[in-house]
Amino acid sequence: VKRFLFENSLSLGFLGIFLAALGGQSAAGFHKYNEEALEHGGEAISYGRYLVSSDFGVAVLENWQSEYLQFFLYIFATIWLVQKGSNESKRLDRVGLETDEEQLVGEHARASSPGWAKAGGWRRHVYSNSLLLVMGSIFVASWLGQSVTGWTTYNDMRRDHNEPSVSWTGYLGKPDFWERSLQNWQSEFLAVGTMAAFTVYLRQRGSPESKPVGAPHDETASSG
Amino acid sequence: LTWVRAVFAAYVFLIATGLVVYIAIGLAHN
Repeated sequence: VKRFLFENSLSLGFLGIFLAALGGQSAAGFHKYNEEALEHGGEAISYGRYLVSSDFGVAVLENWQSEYLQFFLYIFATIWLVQKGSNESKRLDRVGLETDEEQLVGEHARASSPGWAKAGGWRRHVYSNSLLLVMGSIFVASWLGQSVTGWTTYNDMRRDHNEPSVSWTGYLGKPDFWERSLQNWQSEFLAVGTMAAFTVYLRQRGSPESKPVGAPHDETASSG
Repeated sequence: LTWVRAVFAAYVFLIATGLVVYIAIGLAHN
């Protein structure tokens, strides 16, 4: 058990703080929801009811979609875009999809390589892009989830103001949907750009997200 | 490696459940 916890401490640690933060968000969101309901002469709801509400759903999913979009774009962009001096970037002479030899696929696969890396045809093609495919799918699904839960909360608000409800496609053209989306995107893009630029000159001893402390500023793609 | 697979599966389960549940909720309440 001790060995299991140590070997998976990064994934398990983040899983733990994810669940704690989600629990905190749900508690705070629940109190805020009831506060506003009572202020507007509505009825308070139970915590269980709040957990299965679109109000909570949209608050969760609008953040999920932007995180997965961030990773999707970062994985995709770093195939072709580089930053001289950053460990977030690959070497400048490696731009593009690289050779089969560098990627250890097909005849260059090792005995310990995954089966689909050794295989040819569609299996190798799918496996070669599996990280992007999965991150992209989670982005699309969570953005869809944001749109339908956001649509429900938007129509609830319109009903409270005695205004007619809008269709899902109608909601996709509303500023509510785009403000929720873009306010999350802008922060992700800023943070990613900052990491690419800051890791040229700044260091964190011991972190693989940084170059080694003594690495020169113009050294690209080293990790320490 | 079996235990690493369990951690991987836990993440997949959480994400898939969250997405399916809230897409269903968003659609059902409208």
